Amino acid sequence: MRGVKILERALAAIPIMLGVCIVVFIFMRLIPGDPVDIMLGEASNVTQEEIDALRAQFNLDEPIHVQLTTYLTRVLKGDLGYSISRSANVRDLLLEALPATVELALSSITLALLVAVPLGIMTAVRHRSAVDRTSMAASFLGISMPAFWLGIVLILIFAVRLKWLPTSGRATYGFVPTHVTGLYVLDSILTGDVPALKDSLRHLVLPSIALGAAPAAVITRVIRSSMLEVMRKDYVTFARAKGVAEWAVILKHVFRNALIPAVTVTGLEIGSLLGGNMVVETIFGWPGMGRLVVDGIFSRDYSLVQGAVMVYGFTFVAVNLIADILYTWLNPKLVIGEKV
Amino acid sequence: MARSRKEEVLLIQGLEVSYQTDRGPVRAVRGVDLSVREGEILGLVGESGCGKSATLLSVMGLLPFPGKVVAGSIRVCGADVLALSKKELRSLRGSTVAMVFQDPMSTLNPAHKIGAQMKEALTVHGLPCTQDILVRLLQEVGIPSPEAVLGYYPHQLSGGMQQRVMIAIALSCRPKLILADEPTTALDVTIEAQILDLLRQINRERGTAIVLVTHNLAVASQFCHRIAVMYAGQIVEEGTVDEVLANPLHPYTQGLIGCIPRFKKGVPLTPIPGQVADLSENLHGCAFYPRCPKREPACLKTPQDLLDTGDRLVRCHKYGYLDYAETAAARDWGNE
Repeated sequence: MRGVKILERALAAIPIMLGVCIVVFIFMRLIPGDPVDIMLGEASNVTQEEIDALRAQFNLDEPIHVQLTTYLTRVLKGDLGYSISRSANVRDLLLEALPATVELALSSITLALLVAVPLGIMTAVRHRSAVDRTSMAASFLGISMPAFWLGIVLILIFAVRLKWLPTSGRATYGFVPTHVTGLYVLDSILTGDVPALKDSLRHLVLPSIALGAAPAAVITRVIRSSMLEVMRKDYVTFARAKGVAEWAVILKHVFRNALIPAVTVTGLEIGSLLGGNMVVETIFGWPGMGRLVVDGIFSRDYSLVQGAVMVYGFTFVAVNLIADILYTWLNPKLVIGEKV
Repeated sequence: MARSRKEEVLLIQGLEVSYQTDRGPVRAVRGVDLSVREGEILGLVGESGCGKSATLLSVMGLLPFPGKVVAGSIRVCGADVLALSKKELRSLRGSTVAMVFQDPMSTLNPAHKIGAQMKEALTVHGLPCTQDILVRLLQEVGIPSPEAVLGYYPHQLSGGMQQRVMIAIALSCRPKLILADEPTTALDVTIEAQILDLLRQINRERGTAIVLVTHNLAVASQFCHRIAVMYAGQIVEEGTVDEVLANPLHPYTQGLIGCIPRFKKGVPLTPIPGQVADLSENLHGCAFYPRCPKREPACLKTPQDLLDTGDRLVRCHKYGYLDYAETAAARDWGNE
């Protein structure tokens, strides 16, 4: 029964993915200038015949609906096309960039949760105390501070001034671990490569903080307000009336029931982090999806951007499905597919 | 009202509860004295906001922020609740005093199974907890197919069944005193009768004392041995249920009885005019004065004390200068 529901939800994602695909396809072509314009730039010694020949080579001379049909048929066969700007297969480029983004996203969200969960619980339990007020002020700062600004400040302090951590990249040359999963930290653990592990962790610290600060602030606030709401519930008073110790009341009765909104927000944050943060990846020279897309947009690399956006769409759908499954575990009243 | 101290399960003296708000303190309970003996059922009756629930929650040490006991003493089975450490208080809760709440649908944790919630009540007090014990507890409160119910989540049970589960949890440590805060208000009338029967049966078989908070005089009349009527944080009348309901002395009690619907055509209800007293203000004289149909200037002059008229206590100065024989006359004067 439950498996069927999950499968139903997964299948419902197909039309969404198709829609995403078509919308991106059309929007990309609304940006003035096509790949050929960008490639030839301001070169003056090119004839109109040469330009037309180049357009024909990339099938850009066909009507848009024909281009779309050709593209969709190819995608269904698993062929995401060829990147003009990078002269490589789009699928290969994505597979190369995805682990970098996944690693950064997971590390940022882990960092965010490590801060947000204890802080959210503490601020709710010590409601209106100095800890509460200070944390709320700090989280307000975390939400308001743009990631690119925080990233630059972190680089200036910890990389340039103090020279504790590297300024950019995923690994120092020569320290890249043997490829297993593409996640450097995991790979270096799997291969027992301690210097590579140290090196990749050092590279992860600053971008993870820059990227994790905002989600940490948001999740702290959500956990806090949701805990405060649950603490007023009768079943919390009843738990205390049973003689349950205060910490057990907080963790077993309050936190568990306060998690639902936190899971929703965390799911959304993971979704957007997995999409790759274009600005932070660019600042830290992180070879992930975000940078790939930024480069792709600037060079009007249609296939590359379309492929990347499809990966975004897919991760969003997948993360939301996982969040839905978690809801039913947290709140037994819910059935998968029903909105909270 | 001479009673042996030994049997007293609950003894509240001069209890004052105050809520600190931005507009100053709200004095929700203003000097309540109560005693409940073993095997006794006391009804605590009054309108919403008269301090009934605050009194009960004080006994458990569970007053919600910003509520605070500012004066008085509470003794449960001899133990001074207000002087207990947090740990001692926790071991008292659930084991010696148990509480049954108003709305079972919101009092059982929606995320945990019935079995787990029952188990918790036993294990926190170090009591053994086997499947058999849990099944027996559910059987005692009349739940059909208890084995299955242990694996249910609260939302899979009806309101009446959830209330039975809550009573089973309350009973699990064999408490000496049960504090029931409007335990049937959220239930259908037929279910209400069943739940009250169940509580009465527990009271009779085990001698468990019960304090029943209700705003329903009809429920109190069927169920309680003694009732205390509260108004604006004070007890205004207290006595055996038959006496108080048959011959209410305090104008407020008389008013409450006038509000009970009767199955007789053409008999209009007589509501009590006005609104409940503002608890953030200090009282001068009688709290009920603005709403009282029999008020006179003298009512405002002195603080009203709880007077012993022989068969009961009443907080109305009219009964103070009368001897017992004249009480009836005073009442008749009031009933014109």
